[in-house]
Amino acid sequence: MAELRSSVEWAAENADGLIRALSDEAFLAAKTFINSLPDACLDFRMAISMSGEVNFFFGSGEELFQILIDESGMLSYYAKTSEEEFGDSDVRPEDFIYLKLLQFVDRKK
Amino acid sequence: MGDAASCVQELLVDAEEDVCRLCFSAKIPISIDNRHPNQIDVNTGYILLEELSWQDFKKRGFSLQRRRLYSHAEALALAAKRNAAKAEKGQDAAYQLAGVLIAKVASINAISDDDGSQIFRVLATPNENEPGHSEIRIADHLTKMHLLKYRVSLQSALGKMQDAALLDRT
Repeated sequence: MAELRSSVEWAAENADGLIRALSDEAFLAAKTFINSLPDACLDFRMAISMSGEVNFFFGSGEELFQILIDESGMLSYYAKTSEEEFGDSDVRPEDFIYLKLLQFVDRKK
Repeated sequence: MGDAASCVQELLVDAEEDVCRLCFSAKIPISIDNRHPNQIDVNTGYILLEELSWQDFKKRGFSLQRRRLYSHAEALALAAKRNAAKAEKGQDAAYQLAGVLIAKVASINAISDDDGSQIFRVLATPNENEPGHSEIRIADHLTKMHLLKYRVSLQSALGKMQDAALLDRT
């Protein structure tokens, strides 16, 4: 959460033609997402793009669960494992089914 | 793009052409997560997945230069211009060209869904100062989850960052 906050502040200070500041909606949605994560799902990489989108990556390589929060604060996701693939676009972070993420993280246990 | 623009016929870049994405670095943070070179994963040499953004592929266009219409000197001049812009703000950025990603348009066009329909297209979008300016866009009917799915393939198609001097070699 501290990383999110400092990235947001830095982007706002340095916004120019190349870097877009994060919208309030995106920041709030990212906060909601992080706060809603089950304890078993706290191992992820967060990355804010230069265009102001917040990304979360769980897993890596061929088995990756990607989350994208856009400037309007809506959440999209896509996950792929050796067994299945699934995803959806533009759901509210409150409506995202965190169990899917939990199942992905727990898939090898 | 407004309605007027959508009436203009799109001009596709020939599949046999190479397109290039310029990569920059600096000694001060120039991207949000403070990585250098900007937008490139220093461990793998590939562009970071998060920099293949919905905003770019759907709204603004993911900018490239056509190799045959661009030069190393122009890329260096662009870096110098950006460095000067930072200097004007009082920042000693040492902004410089770090390298380029080079891909054949055919390899980008080859990314397709299960039905064989193309995901991305490479458009010629020249402007006054950049005759080789071009951009990648995602197919109009696709949504964000599709970008997340197919940007992994695009990351591979764009390849690893290479020496920018390659811009001048054919």
